[in-house]
Amino acid sequence: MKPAPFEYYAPTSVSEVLELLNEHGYDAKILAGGQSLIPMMNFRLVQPAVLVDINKIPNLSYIKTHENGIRLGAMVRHTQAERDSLIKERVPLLHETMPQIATIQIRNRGTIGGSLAHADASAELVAVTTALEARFKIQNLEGERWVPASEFFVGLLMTSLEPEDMLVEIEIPDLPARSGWSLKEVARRPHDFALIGVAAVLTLDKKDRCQSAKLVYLSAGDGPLVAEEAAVLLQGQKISEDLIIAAAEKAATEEIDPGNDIHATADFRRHLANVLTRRALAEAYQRAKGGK
Amino acid sequence: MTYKVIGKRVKRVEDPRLLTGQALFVGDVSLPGMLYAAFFRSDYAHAKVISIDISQALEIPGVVGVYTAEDMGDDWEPGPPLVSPPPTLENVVFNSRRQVPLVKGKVKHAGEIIAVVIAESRYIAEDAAEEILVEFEPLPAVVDLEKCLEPGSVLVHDDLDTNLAAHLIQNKGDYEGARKEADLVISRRFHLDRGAAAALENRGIVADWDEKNQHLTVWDATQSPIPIRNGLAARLGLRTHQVRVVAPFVGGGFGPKIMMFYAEEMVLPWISMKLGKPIKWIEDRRENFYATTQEREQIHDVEMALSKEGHILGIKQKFIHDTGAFNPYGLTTPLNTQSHSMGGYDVQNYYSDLTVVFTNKTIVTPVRGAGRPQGIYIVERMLDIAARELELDPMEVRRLNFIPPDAFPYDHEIIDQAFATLIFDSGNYEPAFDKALEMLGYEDFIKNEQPRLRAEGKYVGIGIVPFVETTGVGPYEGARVSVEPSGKISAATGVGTQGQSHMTAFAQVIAEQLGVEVSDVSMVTGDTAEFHWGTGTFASRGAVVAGNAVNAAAGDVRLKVLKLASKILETPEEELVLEDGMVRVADKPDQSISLGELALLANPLRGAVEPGTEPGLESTKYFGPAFGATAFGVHGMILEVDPETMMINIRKYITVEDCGTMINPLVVEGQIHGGVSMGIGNAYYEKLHYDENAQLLNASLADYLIPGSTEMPHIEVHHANTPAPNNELGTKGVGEAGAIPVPAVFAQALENALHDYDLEILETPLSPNRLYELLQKKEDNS
Amino acid sequence: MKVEGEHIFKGTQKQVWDLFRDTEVMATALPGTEKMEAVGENVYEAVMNVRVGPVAGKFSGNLVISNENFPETYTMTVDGRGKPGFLKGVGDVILSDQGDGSTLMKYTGEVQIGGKLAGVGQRLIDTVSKSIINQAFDILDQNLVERSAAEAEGREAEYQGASEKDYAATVAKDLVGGVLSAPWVKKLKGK
Ligand SMILES: Cc1cc2nc3c(=O)[nH]c(=O)nc-3n(C[C@H](O)[C@H](O)[C@H](O)COP(=O)(O)OP(=O)(O)OC[C@H]3O[C@@H](n4cnc5c(N)ncnc54)[C@H](O)[C@@H]3O)c2cc1C
Repeated sequence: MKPAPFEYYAPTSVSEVLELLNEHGYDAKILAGGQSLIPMMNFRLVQPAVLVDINKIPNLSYIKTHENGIRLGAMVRHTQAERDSLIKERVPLLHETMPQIATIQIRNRGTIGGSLAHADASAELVAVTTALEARFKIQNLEGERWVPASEFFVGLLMTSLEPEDMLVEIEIPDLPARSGWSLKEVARRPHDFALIGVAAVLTLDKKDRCQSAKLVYLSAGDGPLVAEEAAVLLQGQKISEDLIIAAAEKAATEEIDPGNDIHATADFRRHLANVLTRRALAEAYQRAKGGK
Repeated sequence: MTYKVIGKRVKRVEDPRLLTGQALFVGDVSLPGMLYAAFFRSDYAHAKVISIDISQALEIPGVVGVYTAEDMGDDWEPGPPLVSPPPTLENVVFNSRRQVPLVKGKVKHAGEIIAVVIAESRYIAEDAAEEILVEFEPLPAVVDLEKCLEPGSVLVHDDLDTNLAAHLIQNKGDYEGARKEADLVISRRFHLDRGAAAALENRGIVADWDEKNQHLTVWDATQSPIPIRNGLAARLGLRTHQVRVVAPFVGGGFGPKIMMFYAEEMVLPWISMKLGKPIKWIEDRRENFYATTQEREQIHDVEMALSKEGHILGIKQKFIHDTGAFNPYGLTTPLNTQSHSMGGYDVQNYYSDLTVVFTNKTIVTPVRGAGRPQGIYIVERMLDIAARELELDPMEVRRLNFIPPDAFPYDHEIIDQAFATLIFDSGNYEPAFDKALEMLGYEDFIKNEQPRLRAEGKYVGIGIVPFVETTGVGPYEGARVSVEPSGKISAATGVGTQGQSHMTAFAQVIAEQLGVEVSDVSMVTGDTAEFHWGTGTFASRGAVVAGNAVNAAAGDVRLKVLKLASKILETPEEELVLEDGMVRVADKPDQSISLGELALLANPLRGAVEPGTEPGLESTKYFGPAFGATAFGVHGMILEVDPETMMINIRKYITVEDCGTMINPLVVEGQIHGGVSMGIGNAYYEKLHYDENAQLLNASLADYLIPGSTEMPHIEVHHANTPAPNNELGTKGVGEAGAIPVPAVFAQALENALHDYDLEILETPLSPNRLYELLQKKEDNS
Repeated sequence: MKVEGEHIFKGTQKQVWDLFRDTEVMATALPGTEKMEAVGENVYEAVMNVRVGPVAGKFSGNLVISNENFPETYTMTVDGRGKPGFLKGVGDVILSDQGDGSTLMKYTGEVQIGGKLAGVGQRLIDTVSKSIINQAFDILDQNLVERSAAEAEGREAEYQGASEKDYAATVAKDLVGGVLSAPWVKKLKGK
C-alpha cells in the first residue's frame, strides 16, 4: 500500500499554489489534511503526478466574524472548529456537527476546506454547509469568485472547482431569529461515515408557523440531497407531530436516493431517514421555539 | 498453596519497552543491503492462469527480480499438513489439499500469489507489481456451503471429484432413543459467518541468507517459530542448526499466525538464498484481508430433546464447515465446535455429523475461540428457545443441566481437536453461575428494573451465558532457566509472544521458585537460537503448557541451588530459604550466599566438576499434559436497543472467569477484555462479506468494522478458582475465553430487549441492517 | 450486484436501437471512453478511463452483443479489466414502443466487480454506477434529440454541440477532463 510516484511541492503562499495548479492542471492535487487523499493514493485509486501541499501556507486557518456570519479559512482543522467558541455561539449546528466526523485523530488533521473540496456525499460538512446556505470563495490565477453551496456540489466527489482552482474561504451566514437546527445520523460506529444523516434547519414566524425549512441529507445520493417537497409541506404551517410525520415520510420515500452497500440497503436507509427526519424536525422545532 | 508472587497483580515488565516504541517488531528489522518484496496477487477467486508477462516489471529501475512458480522448479511444493490427519474413526473422509507458494495453473482464492517482485524499495516493488500482466480465464467461483456439494458443482480442486474436504460422525449414547422419551424436541438452523482476526500488526518477514556463514535467519511475525524453523530447514535442504527463526514482539496473533507455511513464508527465504540478500516484506492491511486465514463460517441443523422439566436428553446436529480453498489445519476448528456443542452440560446422548467443504475463499484456520464460539452459540441458543417453549426460567434450565462438581473428570466419550478423548478435568459451575447472576442483578432486573424501563418505552434486555473452554492441550512445551553470575535469571521458552504477557507471567513463576524479583528475570520467547523445542502459542496453552515447563525448570534450578548452598553453608536443605536473590539459613539471616556467587561456584574455570553432575545452575524441562485443562466462565450483559434505528448500547458487562490458578489477575483481565471486544465484533460488527464470485467486499478497516473503545462497555471481571488437577501450577488457559460466549450472550440479551417482537436470533454476526430485516419479516408475518 | 432500471427515450424503437448500436454515440455516452471499435460482428473493444472525482482507473475490455431481436431486445456482455480490478456484466435490454413516439428502455443485469474496486470501494460503487448510467442516459437523450432534428432537417447529426456544454454544466469537470483527453473528442471538436 504505497502510492505511485509523484512530485511534491510545499509552497508557502496561495499565489504559488495557484501557479502550480495552473501549470499542472489535472495532474496536480492539493494536499490539505490528507485524510481522504492519502488513503486513496495508498490504494493507488488516485495517482496524482503532482502533490501541492498547502499546510505550510500561513493564515489559512482563521475563524472570524464577517457582517452577518462567520468566515473560515480553508485550512481550519476539524478539531479547531469543534473547540472554537465563536462557532459554538454563532453556528451551533456546525459546533454540534464536528464531533460526529471521523475520529479525533482524523479531526486533528482533516480540514474544513478539504472535506468540502472532496465532496463526499457522506460528509457531514457537505450537508451542513448546504443546509446553512454557506458560500465558498474560490481563487485561481485570474481572480476569485464566490459560489453558493447549492452550486458548489455537483456530483459524487465532484464540485465546481476547476483543476486550477483553490478553495480558500468558507462563509456561513447567521440563521435568522427563531431558528432551530438539528443534525441526526446513524453510523455503525460513532466515527464511521453515516449510513444516513439529515441536517434540519427550521425558522418560525411570529405566529409560530414554519417560515422556512431546510432538510439536507447525507449518504442519500451522489451529493448533499435537499428535500424540497418536504420543506414545502412544512412551509407556512404550524408544526405538529402529524406534519412532521408527513414531511419525514415524503422526504424518505420520495425525495432521497440512497444506494445499497454492504452496510445498509437502500430500503433500510430510507427507513432510517424517516426516523431521523422526525427526530431532527422535532428537535429543530423545540430549539426554534426556545428562541435565539 | 499460598504463593508470594504467583497470583499477584504485577505490572507487565514488557510494557515500558512496548509503550515507548523500543520493542523490536519485524517491521523494525533493517539490514544492510536489504531488498523489499511486493506480490502480484490474483483479483479473481477462481481462474486459470493463461500467461504471465513480467517483462515490463523487470524494466523498472530498482527491480532486482521477479519470480513465478516456474522459477521455483523442483523447489515448488505445497505447504506441509499442519495437523496430523485424523485418526481412524469409523468412516472418516479427509481430503488433504494444501496451499502453494506461487500459483501454478489455477487460482483457488482471491489473493493467491502469482508473482513476487524483489526491488530496492517497497515503493518500487509495488510500482513494478502493477506492471505485471497476467491473462486469466475466470471461472465461476465456489461460494455456497451447500450448493458446492450438489452434483455438477464447479470444483475447487480439479483432481478431487468433489468439494468435500472431510466428513465424520461422532456419536455418544443413543440420540434417537432419547428423542422418543422427550417431552419437547426443537430443531433449528443456524448460520454463522466469517470474520477476520485483524491483529493490529499484520504478518511480516525478513529473510536473510548469509552465504559465507551458510546460515539463514528469518524474523517472522509468527505464533510458531520452531515448526517454521524445522519446516524451512527441511524444504530448503538445510540442517536445522543452519536456520534461526525469530518471532520478536508480535502485535497480536489470534490464531492465523500459527498457520504455516504461508506462501510468503515459503517463497521469501527461498529467494533470499537465491540472491544472497536480506529480503523484507510487511503485509499490508489489504493483503491481510485476502491472504491471512479467517474463520467461523458454518451452517448447523440442530435438534435438542428435552424433558418437560428442562433436562437435556440429547442433542443431534449436522453441520457444514467452510475450510476455504485449502485445509492445512486439518479438523481442529470443527472438532472444537463438536466438543463445545454440549457446553458445560451433562449430555448423555449426542450425535454430531460434520461435513467440511472447500470453497474459493481464503483459507480457514483457528481464530481466537477456534470453533468453540460456534458450539457455545448453538447449545445456548437452543437452551433459550427450549426454556421459552417449556415456559421455564432460562437460568434454571442451565443450572439443571450443569455437569455436577463430583462428576469430574467427566468423559464425553467423543474425540477432541487433539484426537484424544474429550475429558473435562475439573469444574465447579453453579457457584460461578450464581455469582454472575448476582453481579448483574438478574432477579432485580427481571422483576423491577426491566418492567420500569419498558414502561418508559426503553428496550433493555439481559443475557447470561455460561461456557466451557478446553485449553492447554499438548503435545508439549519446554523451558530453560539459568542463574547468571550477576544473580539475575535468564530464561527461554519456545512459544512466541503476541501480547500475552509471557515476559511477566513466566517471570512471576520463576521469581516464585527462586526468590528473586520479577524484574530480575529476563525471559526470551520465540527465538529458535535460544530454545528450539516446542510447537507454539495456540489453543490457550501458553500459561498451562509453557507455564508448567517454566515452573518445572525453575523448580529444578531451585533444587540445584539448594543442593549447592547446603554444601557451602553447611546446613541441611530443609533449613534454607530463597529470598531477595539470596539463599539464607532460616532464622540466621547473616548466614547466606547470593544466587550469583552460587552460579559462579557452579561453573568454575579450574578444578573439577563432580562427575555425573552438570555445570551451572541451569535446567531445561518439558511439560506435556495427557489431556487439557477445562476452563469455565459466565458472561452477562444488559443492553439497550433502539428498535427504530437498530443501534445498540451495552449498558453493563460482567464476567466470571474460572481459569484455575491465576499467575497474574491483571493479565487474565486484559485477556478477557480483549476477548470480549473480539466477541462483540463477532456479534454485531465483524463480518467478511463475500459476494457470489467469492470477492471480498470489505477488504479494509473502513468497511470491516472492528469494535473500538467507543463500542466497548466497561467490563467487570470476577475470578473463580478451580485449579487444574493435572498440572503443578493448577492453571487453565484464558487467552481465547473472552471471545467465546459473547455472540450467544448478545443474542439472548437482544431477544430479551425486543421481547415485544418475539424474535428468534439464529445467526451471527448481526448488524443493524440485518436486525431491521428480521424485524420487518416478523411484522410481515403477523 | 444487480443493476436494473428504465428510461424513456424520445424516439422510435428503431431510432433508439440505431442509437445504441452506434459506437461513436456510445463512446460519447460512457464518460471517459478513449476507444471503442468493432473488432468483429457484434464484438467491440473498448478502453475507458473512468473518473469519479479524483478517483481514476483505466479499463480495457470487450463488449459483445447477442440475442439480437430487432428492434426489441438484445443482450449485452461486458468484460473489462484494469489495475483497480475487474468488471463483468451481462444485461438484457428491452425496448418497447410507447405508442407516442417514445420508447421505453428497460434493462436488467448482473454486474460483478472484483479486486481493489470491490474490496475497498464499497461505499461508492452503487452510487458511482448509478451516476454513470444516469449521465449516459442524459447524453444519449441529447444525442437522440439531435439525431431526430438532423433527420428532419436532412443534415448530418452533430452530437457534440449541445451535449458537450450541458455535459460540462451538469456533470463533473473531472469527468470532462477525462472526456476531453480522449482522442475521439478532438476529432469531433474540429467540426
Ligand atoms: C477513517 C476515516 C473516517 C472518516 N469519517 C468521516 C466522517 O464520518 N465524516 C466526514 O465528513 N469525513 C470523514 N472522513 C474524512 C475526513 O473528514 C477528511 O478530513 C476530509 O474528508 C478531507 O479533509 P482533508 O483536509 O484531510 O483533505 P485531503 O485529504 O487533503 O484532500 C481531500 C481532497 O480535497 C482536495 N482539496 C483539499 N483542500 C483543498 C482546497 N483548499 N482547495 C481545493 N481542493 C482541495 C484535495 O486535492 C483532495 O482531492 C473520514 C476519514 C477517514 C480516514
